[in-house]
Parts: sequence; C-alpha cells; structure tokens
Amino acid sequence: MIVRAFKRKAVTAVAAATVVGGLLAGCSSSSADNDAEKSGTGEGQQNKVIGASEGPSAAPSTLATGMGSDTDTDGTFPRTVTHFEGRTTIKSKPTKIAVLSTGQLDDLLSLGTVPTATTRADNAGLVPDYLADAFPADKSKLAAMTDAGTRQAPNLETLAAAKPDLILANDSLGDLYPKLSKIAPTVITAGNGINWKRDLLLVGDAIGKGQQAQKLLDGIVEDAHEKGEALSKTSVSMLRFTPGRTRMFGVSSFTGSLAVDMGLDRPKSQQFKAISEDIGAESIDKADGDWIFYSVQGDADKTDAGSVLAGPLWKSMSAVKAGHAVKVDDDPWYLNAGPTAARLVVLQLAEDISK
Amino acid sequence: MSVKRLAWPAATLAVAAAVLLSLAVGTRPVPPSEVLNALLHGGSSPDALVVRSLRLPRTEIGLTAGAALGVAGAALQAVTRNPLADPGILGLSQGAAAGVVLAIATGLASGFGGYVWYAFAGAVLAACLVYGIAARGRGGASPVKLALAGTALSAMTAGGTTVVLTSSSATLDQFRFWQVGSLSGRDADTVVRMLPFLAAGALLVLACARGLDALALGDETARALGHRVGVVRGCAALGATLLVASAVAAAGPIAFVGLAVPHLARRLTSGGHRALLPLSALLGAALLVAADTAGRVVRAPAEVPAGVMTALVGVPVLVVLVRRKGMAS
Amino acid sequence: MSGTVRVPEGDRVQGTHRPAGVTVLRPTSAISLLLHRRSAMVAATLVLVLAVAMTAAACLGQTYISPSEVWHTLRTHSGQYELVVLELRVPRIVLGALVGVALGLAGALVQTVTRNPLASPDVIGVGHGAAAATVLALSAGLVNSPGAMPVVSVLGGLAAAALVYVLAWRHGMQPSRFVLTGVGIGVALSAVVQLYLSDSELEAAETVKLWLTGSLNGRGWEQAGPLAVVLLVCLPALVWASRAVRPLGLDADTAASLGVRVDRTRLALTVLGVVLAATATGAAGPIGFVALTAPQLARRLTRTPQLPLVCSALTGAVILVAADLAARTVLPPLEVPVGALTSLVGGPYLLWLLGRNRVGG
Repeated sequence: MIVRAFKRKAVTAVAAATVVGGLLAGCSSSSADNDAEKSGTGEGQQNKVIGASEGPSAAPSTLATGMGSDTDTDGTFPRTVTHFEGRTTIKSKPTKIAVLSTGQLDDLLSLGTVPTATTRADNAGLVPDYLADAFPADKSKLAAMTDAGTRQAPNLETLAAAKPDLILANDSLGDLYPKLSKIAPTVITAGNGINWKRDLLLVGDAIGKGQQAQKLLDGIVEDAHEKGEALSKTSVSMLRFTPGRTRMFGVSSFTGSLAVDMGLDRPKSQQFKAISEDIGAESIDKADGDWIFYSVQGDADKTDAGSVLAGPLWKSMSAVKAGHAVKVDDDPWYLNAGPTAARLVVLQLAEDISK
Repeated sequence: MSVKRLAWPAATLAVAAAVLLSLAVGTRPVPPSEVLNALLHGGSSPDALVVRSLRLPRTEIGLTAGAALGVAGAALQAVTRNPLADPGILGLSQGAAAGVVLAIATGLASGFGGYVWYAFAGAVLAACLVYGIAARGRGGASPVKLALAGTALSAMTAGGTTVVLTSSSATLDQFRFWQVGSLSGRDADTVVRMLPFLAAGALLVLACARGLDALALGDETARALGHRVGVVRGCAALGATLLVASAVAAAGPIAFVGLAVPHLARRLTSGGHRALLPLSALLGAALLVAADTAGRVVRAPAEVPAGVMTALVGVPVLVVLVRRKGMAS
Repeated sequence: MSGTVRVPEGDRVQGTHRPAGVTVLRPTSAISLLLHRRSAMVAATLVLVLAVAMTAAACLGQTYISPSEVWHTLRTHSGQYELVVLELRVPRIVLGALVGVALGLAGALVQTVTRNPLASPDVIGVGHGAAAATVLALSAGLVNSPGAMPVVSVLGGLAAAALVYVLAWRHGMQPSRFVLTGVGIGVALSAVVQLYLSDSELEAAETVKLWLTGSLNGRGWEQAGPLAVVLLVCLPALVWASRAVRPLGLDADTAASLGVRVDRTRLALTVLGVVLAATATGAAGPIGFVALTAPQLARRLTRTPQLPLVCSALTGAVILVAADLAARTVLPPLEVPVGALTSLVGGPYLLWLLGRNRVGG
C-alpha cells in the first residue's frame, strides 16, 4: 500500500518534472540551432540569417532571387513587383505612400519622397530625430503625415481613410497582407536590420526609383570603403543596453555590415554568426575592443546600463580606460536600418576613431 | 525527534551552500577559493570585481526576499487554513507589483523607499478583494475559491496594467521587471532599506506564532484556548502583507516560494510556528538564491529571471500537493 | 388533494404540475419540448441587443457611416464605403460575435462541470497552453508570426487542458483538484511564455505580447470561417449538453443514483468546452474574462439555477462585439487589444457580481 502510494507520487512528480524539463530544454535547444529564416522586424533576432554571407559583405547587397520589379528603368509604370508575399502590380507612379515598418521611412526620405502615412515605434514620435535633422526641408510635409498607429498594430481604418496608392510593410505584418492589399497595392520587404540593403533596393523598385536606389547604395558602400581605408585596423565592439538585457551585435547585423564595409575589425567575442547575442553583466569585459560603441534604450537607470557603466568591471576594460567608449544614438544605430542611418553610423565611426 | 534535531543545521547548511554557489557560479565561473579571497581580502581582478559588485548584492537581496516570502507563505497558510496559500497564487504579489507600476507610470514614486508603500497598498487591496470574494457563500474561503479569486485578480491587474501602459508614454518594456520577478541589476543598498520592513513584518508574524498554532485546531477551539482569533488573524495577515510588499518592491513578484517552503519546513520539524517560521525564513532564503543561481546557468549567457525559475520548479510541487488526499477541499 | 395543497403557479394538467415559468412546445404531435419562458424571452432580447451592437459597430469608427449607408453597401457590394464596411468592419464584427459565442459557451460548460463561478477555460490552462505552444513554435522557427498558424494555438490549448486533466485525475476527478492543478499549470506555462519574451528581440516580443492579449485587428473571414465550422460541428453536442448539464447541479451521489454517469458526463462537457475555447483562442488569441463573466451575467438575467447555454453564448457575443468597438475607438489611432479591455472591465464587474451573489462551493 505504502509502496504503491509512493510509486504514484513518484510517477506524478517525475511526469511533472519531465514536462517542465522538456519545456526548458525545448526553449534552449530550439533557439540555439535554428536554421529557418526569421523575418521579424528590428535588430537582433537570435538566429542565423540565411543569405548573409560569411565573408566580407555581411549584409546581402542584392535583391533576393526573383524579387524586384519587371522593368529596369526608373519612372516606368505600370510595373509588377515581386516581393516576399507575392506579386503586386503598380499601375502608375505612387504619390501617396504609406510606410508601416521600420527603416522604410528612412528609405523613402533618402530617395526624395515623403510618405503620406506612417506608423510609430512604441511610445516614440512618428519621425525619429535623426531623420528630422537630416531632412529639414521636408519638415512641413513630415508634420502632415497621417498617424496610422503602432508598427505592430496599424489602424487599418485610418490607413484606408488616408487613401494611399501604395503600402510598404515588412514581413512581420505579413498576416495583414490580404487586408492591406484590399486597401492599396502592397509590397512586403524582408525586414530585420541585416536585410537593409536589399530592402532599400526593393522599396526603390516599388516606387519607380530602382536605379536611384542602387546608386545611393553604391555611394554609401564606396564612402564606407574610403573612410575605412584611412583608419588603421581597429577592432570595434558594439553593445546595446535595453531594459532587462544587454546585447552584443555580431558581424551579420546592420552596424556589423557597415563595419565590414569599412574594413574594421571585430573583437573575438563578437565574431559569431547570429545577428546579436546576450551578454551578462558579469562578463561585460568580454565585449572589450579597441573602441566600444554602445547605446542605451530609453531611461538609463531602467536598464542594466546604469549599474554596469558605473561598475568597476566596465571601468577595468581597456577601451574604457583609454577613453574609447562612446555612447551613440539608439535610433540610427540600432532601431532604424536605412541609408541615412547608415551614413550617420559610418560618419560617426570614422570621426571618433580617427580622433 | 532526530528529524527535529537535524532541521536547524540542515537549513543553515542549505543557506550557506546556496550562497556559495551563487557567488561562485554564473556566466563566469569563479573557484570557491577565489570567492573567499575576494570577500575577505578585496582585490581588483575581474573575478573579484564580479563577485563583490555584482553577485554579492544579488545574493543579499535573494536571501532577504526569500526569507520574507517563506515567512509570509507560512503565515498565510496558517491564517487561511489553506495548505495551498501562497502570495503569488492569492494574487497578493501581483497586486503589489501593480501598485508599484501605477506609481511609477504616474511618476509618484521612485526608489525602493517609495515603491514599498505603493506595493503595500496594492497587496492590502488585493488581499481584501480576494479574501472577501472567496469567503462568500457556502464553504467559506476554500482553497479552490481562494486560488480562483487570486487568478481572476492577477488577470485583472495584468490587463489593467497593459491598458494603462499602452496609453501612457512609458515603455511596456521597462515594466517587464514588475511582471516577472528577478534579482538582477538591483542596488546593494536596497537590502539595507528592506531590513526595517522585513523586521517589522517578521516580528508581527512571530508575535502571533502561538495563536497561529491554535488557529489550526479551528476557530472555536482557539477561542476556547483563550486566543483572540480575529486579532491573531489580522496581525498575522498584516505582517504577511508587509513582508510580501517589501519582497515585491525589492525583487518583483516571485511566486511559489511561499507555497513550497512551509511544507518543506513542516517535514523537518513537528514543532509549532515558533520553530516553523524561522525555519521557513531560512529555507525560503536558500530556495530563492538557488533558483536565481540556476537561472544564471540554465541558458547562459542569457539569464532566466528568478521568478520564472521558481514558477517552473514550484508548479510540480503544487501538482504533487494537490494530488494528496484531502488537500484540495 | 387539489383542494388542500396549494399548487404553485403553472399549469395544472391532470394532477401533475410543472415548475413555474415553463411552457410545453409541441412542434409535432410526437415531440414535446420544455421551454423556460423567461430564458426564451431573455434570449430573444439578447439577439436584439446583439443586432444593435453589431449595427453600431458597423457604423462607428474612424468615419461615421449611417445605418442606411451600411445597409446599402451590404446589399449592393459597392459604393464609397465598400472597403471600410465590407473589408474592414463587417468581417471583424462577425468574427467578434463568433468568438464571443464560443467563449460564452465554453465558460458556461466549464463552470458547470467545476461547479464554480470563478472557473473559466483560461484557468484550466487553455489560454496559457495556446500561448506557450505558439511561442515555442515561434522560437523553433515553425512560424513567422503568432497569428500565422492558428492550429498550433488550438493544439496547445487542447494539450494543456489534457495535461491538467491527467495530472489531476486520481481515482476519478474532483472538480477542485482539477481547478487547482489548472491554476498551477497555467502559472508554469505563463512562465515559459515569459522566458521566451525575455529572450527575444524587442520588436518580436512586442508582436507576441500583442497577440497574447488577444486582438481582432486585421482579422476577418479567414479566421471566422474555421470557427463557424467548428461551432456548427459541435451543435449536436451542444444540444446534448444543454440537457446533460441539468443533473450536474446536484451533488455526485444524487446524480449517480439517478443513473447519470457523472464522471463521463463531466469529461465530455469539459472536452466540449475546451475545444470551443481553444478554437476561439486560435482565431483571436487569448481573450480573457468573456468566458468568466458571460455565463454569470446570463444567469442573472434568466434566473435559472443552472447556467443557460444559449443565453451565455449570446451574452458572450454582445460583450465581445461591444468590447471590440470600444477597443478600436477609445484611443484613436491606437488599437487597444480587445483582451486588455475585457480584463480591465470584466474583472471589476465580475468581482462586484460575485460579491452580491451567493457564490456556490
């Protein structure tokens, strides 16, 4: 009787523990070896990125196979654009464009167009500061843009009321593609900072400025090469403090790809294949390099930044001791992956390192 | 009798082992000799810096919050005569956390000193609501009704907090901490500021220890033995709420420490609450510190918050307890 | 006998008397049905209220569209409001009504089985199971976004409820054990979800968090179709259920002595409730408090001793349609997730409701 009762208890305990253990194991193993292409927005998914080459060019710099428009010359309409959710035909030059995802506002402004409607990142303004500063001539048009809600939950009625003739979004809103297509022709880009080059080209193709986009991209890459040649082979460490975690960015990331284009080195700890990796406050010294560029999301004391930056471990790092730790603006570096942001990052890297 | 004699040394040993592990283990393994060296002799090697400036405050907060939760759990189980009572299950922790979140979002408070009063208000409100609802109708405040009322309250506070935060200018992200408890990034002097509240709550509960023993025999018997049942209940509940509020204000809402620890303590001692409460404090401290350490190891280099670890570990305990005859009704 | 005994109001037919307020329907000479008059009236009223709510939801929003315009657009499938009404609003409203029906029914079934008005399918792990399964699929790369594969959510909800049942089964099923195990498993599963959230990148986490609170934004016929099919398929089972719940109001011994196989009936009703709740969660994400409050509200209206199934379904539909309307109009252009709104409003109301009512054990 007692043995039976014990056995039953043991069985239940084992079963429950197995379930819990299995869940934990499932969580840890699945994010470790993940080969599927993830297309969420923003920087730093903890997954390998298909299409990111392992050599010198870390961000795919051409359109994905089969994607893009069916005509090569700028300004030709109608055109059919193949994108990540299908094919869309754009009958005439779009004049009222709605941009729903990160990086796309940057793309449009850099190509000389101001959209009519856009979404905001959580509790941020509609237009990031660095864009407003870079395009002062468009100030009034930017102020007149319709606010279509947040990037994760755009308000479809507001969007429809703005009567756009082209909608741009990335794959994180892929679920909404059927509804968006009913409102206006929609083009879906890949999203994820690492895909910024091919997204710029796809956006250019969609609005009839494909060649201009290519020239813009070539210009940025050449500029990066030039500025990088002038610098010695410095190793650059990239960190971002957010509430709850601290991340290091690898070679295959937005800023990582710019470092590659500039020919800069990365510390051993950041030469991993994923876009970014967590780093604990205890091992922050692993992120040491010749120069450290870090950003803090939101309020400094709500993140680990407050305690880490004031802590003795940070101060013992060689870059910090040499005064080579630079705080950078979160928006262009880690939140919006677009051409103007790229230029800013390259400029800042070149200026600071050559000082 | 032999079990009882081993209880205290065993508990103390558990605490010591947990502390040592917490200081030695992490994303950066530090050998125990180094740990002792760092503590006693100082030094500025990276290892020593990590131990002193990062792990030590964390361990200290784990000890104090864990002790608070252990004692609170034991008190709540005695007051509600419900072996499944726990500050998390009853919604007290979530109420306290919601209080802090609202205070921060409206800019009313900052720092532990400010948080703890709002946490207290939130916990008291939650306790009144949950107990008031569960006690109505036939059967009084049975374990099921308490648990359900607690769950309903937690869901309500979660939804309410979401709406408040969506419309305010604050990031939901900053409040992640208050949704799941964690010991990382806490200030060393939070511990010092926590001690008065801890002491006050513990004293209140300990003062009622005899009364809690009598309560277990039933209200009538307790009265016949000369205890004032209402006063004992109120006093112990107040103490428990204070303890929960200080633990939540320091480390966020952490569940299941208060559930598992008193049962474990009861296995180690057959004495009344005068032995059970301090034992629960020791075991609670050891459990929380151990859970935090495990959280640092399981998915290195990322850290699993201590609140998640205790939930994952505590739920099998709950399931086993519920399956025991007579526990649920 | 009839002279001295006071027979309560109701028909007196050949020495028998029926409970007050019940009529007998005889659609054919061979079939007769007992119909509780008050329930029928309440149901009819609720249908009316639902119609009004749905019309209001179709008219209100970013732009106000008059009811006649709405009707015109529906009839002719053209006009300047075609996009807004036919593509954006109507599918969302219909989905909301169907989800409300499913949740109301699921709540009534689970509360009857567990004999506790505070129980709901979320409590026995359906919502948390769906959430945990979805985030596990996300982190394993099976899906790109939380809403991409509703089947995952449905299976997760079913699996969690099954796990709770298995863990709580011990020489039979006690409702209290079932509920407590469900609470515990729910906490563990939400810890798993928190684990994923703390580990993923900010924007991905935001998308998941939005899904976790349940939202009807951008959803429509693709989600409503499967849900309607499930409801239709379950219809015979629901008809059986409406009769099977009555003896469950008695305690186990009396019910057993009446020949009712209590354990099996409870299991079948639970399965039905879980299936409905899981499908609703797959369609719209986990939406809380509708399954909890709708049956209680319905019972207050019909004043029956058991939870009325039809009225719970209709009440659930009204609640959800109204809540979704509020969710998209209260803070323009922000879309408040409807689940957050139902928690905020449903919670206090439930507590008030229970505080006033006699709560059964």
